[in-house]
Amino acid sequence: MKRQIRIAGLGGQGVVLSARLLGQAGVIEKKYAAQSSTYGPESRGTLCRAEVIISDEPIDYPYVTEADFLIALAQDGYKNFSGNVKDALLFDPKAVCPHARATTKHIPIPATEIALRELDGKAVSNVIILSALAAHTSLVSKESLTEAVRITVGKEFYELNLKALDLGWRLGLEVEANV
Amino acid sequence: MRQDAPYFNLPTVRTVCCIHLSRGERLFAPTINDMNENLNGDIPPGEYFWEGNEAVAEGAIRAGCRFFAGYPISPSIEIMERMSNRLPEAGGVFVQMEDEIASLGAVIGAVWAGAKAMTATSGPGLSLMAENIGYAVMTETPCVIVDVQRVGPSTGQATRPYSGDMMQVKWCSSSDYQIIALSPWSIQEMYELTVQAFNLAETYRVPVFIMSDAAIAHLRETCTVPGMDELAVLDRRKSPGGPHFGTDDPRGVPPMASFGEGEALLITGSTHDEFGYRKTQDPNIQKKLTTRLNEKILRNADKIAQMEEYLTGDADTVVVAYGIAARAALAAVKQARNRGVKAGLLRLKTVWPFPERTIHSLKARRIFVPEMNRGQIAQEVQRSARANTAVFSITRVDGEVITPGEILEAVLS
Repeated sequence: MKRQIRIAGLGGQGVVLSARLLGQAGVIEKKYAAQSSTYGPESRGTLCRAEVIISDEPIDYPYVTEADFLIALAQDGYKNFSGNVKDALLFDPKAVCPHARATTKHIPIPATEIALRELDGKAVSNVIILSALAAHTSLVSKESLTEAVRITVGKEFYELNLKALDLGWRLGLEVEANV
Repeated sequence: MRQDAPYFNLPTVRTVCCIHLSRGERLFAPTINDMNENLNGDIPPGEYFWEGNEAVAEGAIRAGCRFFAGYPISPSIEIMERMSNRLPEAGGVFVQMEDEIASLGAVIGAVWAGAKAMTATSGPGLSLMAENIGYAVMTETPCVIVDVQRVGPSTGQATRPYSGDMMQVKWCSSSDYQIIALSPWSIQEMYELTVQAFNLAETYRVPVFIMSDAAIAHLRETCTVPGMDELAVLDRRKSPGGPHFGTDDPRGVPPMASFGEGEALLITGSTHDEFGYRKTQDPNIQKKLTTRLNEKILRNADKIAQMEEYLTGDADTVVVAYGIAARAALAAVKQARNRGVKAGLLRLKTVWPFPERTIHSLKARRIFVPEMNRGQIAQEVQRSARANTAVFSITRVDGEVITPGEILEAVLS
């Protein structure tokens, strides 16, 4: 099976990092994974997208052709990539105002709010929403994602990201689809 | 384990100040004695989830690269960043230079001091390196230059992929000369072809280019680092006494020497005889030298050029592709097969020297050349293909990666 995931937001929100964590988790589960990213020369504050393909077969073309899932972390990302999503779209309601007539399944994940409330405003909403996606879709296991965080994230931020991962995972299991 | 010769023989090299890009720290590379004692620093064999730029840096270190000089430019920066971290660990030297002209100049100098050396840049930086590329060709200096291509001309779109330098890399310096250019299509190949680039540079004493782009540079895939015995690393051929700039064989590659080995070394971009003496008015020496500089590559093109074929056996439609576009081409060829088209893929791992004979041997009715430029290599394919083969160029010029759908559509038309 091949799953295509796109994460769109602004540079600096951890868009690329969350895609890397998901890809790394796929690799840990012995799957084929490809992760790519596109951002502007400003690096921060402008449209940034990252893509992950996780597959049981070798991946010929490593870029997303049709996203199964989209995580929208900013309105600009939502505007550009929400049109063509097959299965579900996860968005942060603090940062994204969805179209009134959207037909794709929309799932609000209050990642920024939770990060502010539970983690003292630390910038980990990317990991919260990624973890919610993984929990909701069973793309990768919690163990693999935890291991990916351990491999990828610097020691000083490991504990914080683990907390974010836990919170996101719980949210992902709880959410009801809100179409 | 490889037995390495001491890398730096210049007694004046003591310490080199490196700018540590990622943390803003200042690191001091080891002194010359430490460098000679601590020559490994290779990472252990295994699987790594690397991006292209990281794989290039690690491939270089594996190949024995112990000197990097560069000037930062998107989308090549991660190569420089990783080299700034890893070279001191591996007993090498990293220098951030004032510009790309000086970067390649420093690389050429380091090579003549005995090191294997590399620089990395993007199209605009390659333009600045043009002068020293000619100098490296004329002085037969083995070096590796990574061109992480982006949309141009000029500053263009700094973070967007393009294959716009395929001709620049071949023709940017003056006069007639040959270089070698490799075009990896996966992160595994970013690693392996970097090792091969160093091997080719040492074998033919020529600058070797790795034609990456913004897409593959920032693509992350699994890269398997093989064990120490599983990947050949070629070291510099030496022959004390020389001559170091000529051979009797018109396609030959002379052995090299380094400063500090006690040889009388004259290195010049002016026309020179086999001992390096300037011969600036002798037509015979001019002809002999430049003929050999070209023929050592062209007459060995079949040995140098590497390619892979997929499903070409019975194909009447062949897609000729290189780099990241070949990934889209492979997907498109499989989809075309599902629709009953006898399609195949010829993937060029080596773009320069151009594999003319292989293209000419294709008996296909139609050849498609998908590229992220306005058809630079399609012209080469057209020139090399048989008269009764129709060659079609498929272009993508907006700074996005070409898709399988675009290639499939052309192939089905």
